[in-house]
Amino acid sequence: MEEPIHQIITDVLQGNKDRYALIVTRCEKFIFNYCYHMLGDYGEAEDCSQEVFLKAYRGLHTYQPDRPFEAWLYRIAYNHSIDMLRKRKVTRLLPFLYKNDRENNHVDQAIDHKYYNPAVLHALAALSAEERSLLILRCVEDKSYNDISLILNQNAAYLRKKFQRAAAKFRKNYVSQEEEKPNESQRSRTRPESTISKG
Amino acid sequence: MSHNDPGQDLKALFQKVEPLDQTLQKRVMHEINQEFVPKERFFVKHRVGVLLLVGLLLTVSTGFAAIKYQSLFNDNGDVLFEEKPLSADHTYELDADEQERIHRMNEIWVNEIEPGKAALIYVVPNNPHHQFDIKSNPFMIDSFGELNQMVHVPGIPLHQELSGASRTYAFQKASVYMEYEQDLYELSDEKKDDLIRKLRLQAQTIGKDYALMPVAFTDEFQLSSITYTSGKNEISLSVMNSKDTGPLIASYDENLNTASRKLKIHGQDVIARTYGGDVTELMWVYQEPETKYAYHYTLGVREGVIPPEELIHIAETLIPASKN
Repeated sequence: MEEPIHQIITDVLQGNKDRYALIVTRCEKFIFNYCYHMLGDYGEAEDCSQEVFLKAYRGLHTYQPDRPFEAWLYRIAYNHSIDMLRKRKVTRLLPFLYKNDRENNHVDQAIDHKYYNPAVLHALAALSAEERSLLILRCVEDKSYNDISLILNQNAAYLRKKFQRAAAKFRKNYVSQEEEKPNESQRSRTRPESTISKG
Repeated sequence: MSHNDPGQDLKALFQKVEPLDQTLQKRVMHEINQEFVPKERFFVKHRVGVLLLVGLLLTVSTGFAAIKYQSLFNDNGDVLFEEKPLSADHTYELDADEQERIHRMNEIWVNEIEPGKAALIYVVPNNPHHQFDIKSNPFMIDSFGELNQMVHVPGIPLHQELSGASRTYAFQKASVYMEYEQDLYELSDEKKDDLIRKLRLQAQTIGKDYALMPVAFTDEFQLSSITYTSGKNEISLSVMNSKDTGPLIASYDENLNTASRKLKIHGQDVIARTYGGDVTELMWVYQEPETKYAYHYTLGVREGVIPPEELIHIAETLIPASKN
């Protein structure tokens, strides 16, 4: 039987920091998956996830045990993803200062494009951060509106309406992406875009 | 879990993407082990604004005082300020040409650029890669009204007087560095080539080994150092606008007898630095909630004997009460 996460948190707070590895192992897949869809980039998702777990570690004493730990972690991931999207704007302005080593990492790019349909990421990127987050939590992470309300601090009825609008917007973007998609021979000659977002 | 709403058909479009096996966990735990082990290392000199001093500091002898390095975070856990030993900095070996070029560029910077001016500096000799720099000298301000026009931190007014426990320190003077309108990093290769051509031509025309081209400022300040006095005692308050470009890193030389610790003032973390046992410098960061710009404040003793309690008292009047 899996050890309760609250017990592990208590152990970490009492100084047994190695136990935090268990929390990372248990949560890394869904946090990474979430960051990946928010940012549309494998390398950035790795950096984002790492920072989320470090922030959670630093702020573990502020976690309130009466709320789900997952929701607390998602909230940190949501905030940090938004920070990263904001920083991209600076990156575009100061490309030499903020050049990310991963831009030169062709292995990461290969992972992105081998396993993903870029039209989905493009369509996601055209949504606001809140809409994107909502769609990811519903369609990828399979969360209920009640779960999501704890993460995004919005009530379930609002989220249901917001989701319908976001889904319609996504569908429209996705269809137009599919229509613009080059044929296979063209695509193979086109350098893939590793970071897709309007920020 | 099943959902009965119209978005469910979208699920098939999405795909789960996973991190590489244990890579993330190892990275996180490595960072935690690095970050949270007290580092018995050494100290002092602010990197930002004193880059010219770094070379000199590196040559000082080897005595040291053990300290813990401190960091300051915002409520989200983002690092806003980080202390590191100077020896942890990456050092870059400069070739002989580049050393000569930088030496000459520094001379021109100091001697040819007036206070409150900025310029592109191009040095002709020892410059095979046609490097140029933007450098400025600060505005020297002796009117508090003028300072107020230039240095604006949203929600945090400047003070014309600092109130200590036993005396008041009055504004005396300030220096202000402003942001450049031209950012070298934004220049296209074509624009850079064009600038180099103009600068070389200018140097040739005037028969000098360098060329200067004026650069305008924006209305945003970058760094201000303000001096307050009471009799022979002087206090300095510096404010740096670090925008939202990530943590400010201060590198400290190992050779000065200094140490630092954390205090809480109005719920705000403040780093207190001591030199020879007395607190002579307090540092804190204010992050503006709208823009997320980080403003780094340093309050220190410049002249005279001012007890640490006095500095802390003044900091209490400058630091806004925490919302937490």
